[in-house]
Amino acid sequence: MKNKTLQKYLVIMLAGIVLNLGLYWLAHILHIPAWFDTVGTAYAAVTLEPAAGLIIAYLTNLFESNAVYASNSIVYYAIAALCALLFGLMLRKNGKVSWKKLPLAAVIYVAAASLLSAAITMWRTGAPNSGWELVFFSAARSRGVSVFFSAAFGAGVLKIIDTAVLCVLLPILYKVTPKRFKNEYYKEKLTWKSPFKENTN
Amino acid sequence: MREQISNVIYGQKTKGRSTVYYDWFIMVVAIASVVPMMFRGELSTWMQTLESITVYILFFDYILRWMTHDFRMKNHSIWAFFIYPFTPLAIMDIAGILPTLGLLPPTFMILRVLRLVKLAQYSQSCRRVMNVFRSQAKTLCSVLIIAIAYIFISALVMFVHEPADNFPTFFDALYWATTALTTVGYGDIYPATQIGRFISMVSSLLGIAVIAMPAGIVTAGFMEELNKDLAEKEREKENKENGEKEDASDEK
Repeated sequence: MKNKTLQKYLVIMLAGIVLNLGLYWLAHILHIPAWFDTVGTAYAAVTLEPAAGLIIAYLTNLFESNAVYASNSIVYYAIAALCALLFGLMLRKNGKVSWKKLPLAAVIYVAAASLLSAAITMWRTGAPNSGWELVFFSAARSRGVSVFFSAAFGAGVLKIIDTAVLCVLLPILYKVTPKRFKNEYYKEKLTWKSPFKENTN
Repeated sequence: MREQISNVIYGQKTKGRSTVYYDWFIMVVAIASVVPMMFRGELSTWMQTLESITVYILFFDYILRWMTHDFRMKNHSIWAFFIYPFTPLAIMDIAGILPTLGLLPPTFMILRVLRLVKLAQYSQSCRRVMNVFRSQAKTLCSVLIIAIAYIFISALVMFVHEPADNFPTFFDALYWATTALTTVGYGDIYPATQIGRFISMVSSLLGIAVIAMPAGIVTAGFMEELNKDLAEKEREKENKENGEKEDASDEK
């Protein structure tokens, strides 16, 4: 990587981690029913490329699982990775950032992340056991909803607030980022062709 | 960025210094990650920390490999990312990581040994041995079939001829035949009749020949792989020298 590119990636990725952890901490001390720990991930995925978001997501989850939760909560990385991929890929049209698909990406993200989060929670602990997630989970359970869909509801409510804030912050953050720190044009050379045909282009 | 990462992990364009360092780093991490397995009972804080750190690094390596699997397949198809988790090496990688994270029942703790498969992915010697097994697969399979047939026949003969006290079940006979064929011979099960002992003698003599065959095949294959690597290195050296000579003559 050239020095300028390396500098650009380092600055934005560091900013992404600070955003993730800073907003997460803010949500925690203000007792807001949200996590806010994917804003920096989506920001890096859109500003640079999805791969940068994937790495930030890992580092954020690594910190959270060691400092806040249990070591096995690192598997929630899957949700942050989903965020990086969805926003990083859907918000680029012909290589340029386009905000038209932001609502669609947000809806898909909320739905997929809620289900994925419920599946991971069921796998890890059987049911949500702390925080706001437990409050909404218990509310759904008291209405006779199944454990899985209650867990999805618990995570879903938090994800809706999370994603709403993300949708507001993301375009602002992108606009205030200086041009030299952005990949204004970025296109993945991916196709839907069979993966077994060798193609080195 | 993904291309840069794939160059470091797989060294596709050129196996540069960063690739070699990365290979060594992951191999050391993989070995360090199994050190806590060598202790019984409650692990000390140091050992727990060592296991956690190494597992996080291996998990990160898993993610990086997943992220760049299209480069590995030399085909930028989106399907490459769907295929990756189902490749044998990826399954072994994740199976080695999940028990430490407490995401699998304690029975599966043994799967942590699979982290050593990383050595096969990164070590050149392991890669050579794998290549030998791949290239000699047919011959080795034939020898294996002969060995299995031999064990089965000698076990059957012994089971039919020997008294039930010595060989209570057919599995005992199979166990005896295998230990005799491989020249291990624990001695906990042995023939008591004269004919049985004679069969055992013949079985042991023939067994050495059957067992020695794969060893010879693997050794020959390994030598062939080594020679191939040496020839390739020499060819690269010659090409480099020729290139330098051409450059010098152009300058003149």
